[in-house]
Amino acid sequence: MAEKKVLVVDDSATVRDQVSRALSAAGFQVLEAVDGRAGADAIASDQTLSLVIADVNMPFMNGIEMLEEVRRAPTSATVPVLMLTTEGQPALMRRAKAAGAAGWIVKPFQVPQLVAAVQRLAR
Amino acid sequence: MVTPREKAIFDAIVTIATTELLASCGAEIQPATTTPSLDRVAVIGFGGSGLRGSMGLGVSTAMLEKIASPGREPGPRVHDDWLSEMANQLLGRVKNRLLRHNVTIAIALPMVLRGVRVELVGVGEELWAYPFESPLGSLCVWLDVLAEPELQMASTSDEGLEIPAEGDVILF
Repeated sequence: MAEKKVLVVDDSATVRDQVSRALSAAGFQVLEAVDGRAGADAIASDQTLSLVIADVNMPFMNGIEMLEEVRRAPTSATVPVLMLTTEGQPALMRRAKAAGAAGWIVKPFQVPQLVAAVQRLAR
Repeated sequence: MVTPREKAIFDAIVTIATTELLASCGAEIQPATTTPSLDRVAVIGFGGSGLRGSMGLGVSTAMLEKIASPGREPGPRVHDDWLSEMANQLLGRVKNRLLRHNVTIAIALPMVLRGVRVELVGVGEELWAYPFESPLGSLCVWLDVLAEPELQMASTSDEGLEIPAEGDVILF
């Protein structure tokens, strides 16, 4: 069976590396994008993604703006998006949920919990 | 200007947030009495809710080399990116704790300063330094806080407010 493909969108190479190592060890194929604009472009060009993990605070386009753009496009409207952020502000979480986010993880993440969430949400 | 009561709230929040963050990286730190000279520094601006300013995080090179990004090839770029992310996570923790005191801030993107040696001067009414030490080396957090008259900081933490903790996973 083909590996499920997860896109990690974060401007921190440290976080992308941590997530990539955790998910690769769990059998996922991991792609990376360095900000919200690059993430939106990567999602638009790949309809085989199983899940997207996105930071909120990023240059050029933040993670919630990226999510909102992705949801407007018919080709990417249903890809699950999991937010991974330092933010705990309820208003931001409500905005992400309203935009169609599948979940919210507060950094720093615990590897077993992250992998469990990805296994549950990846299509 | 921030009142002594508000300053005490900031002191407690920054001390707890820094100690917990470094513990999550495997470093046990203790408050120190002297502020070290710093050559690896990340800075983030913030603003909102009657409050604006910046937070800095400086780490000694010795400490940085011991705890930054285990499992990755060490090097200046890796260390700087790790320091930038640590500053981001630290201010995120501070921000989430301030929410319980009725203070909402937005935070900018972190910036790492390279090629400089930073020595804090003028620490006092609006510039607060929080030095820490550990067997791995030293670090210092500082806040440059400009409070506006509209700042309404609650003296007690609203523990009933539903704010996720670090590491929490919430599926919608």
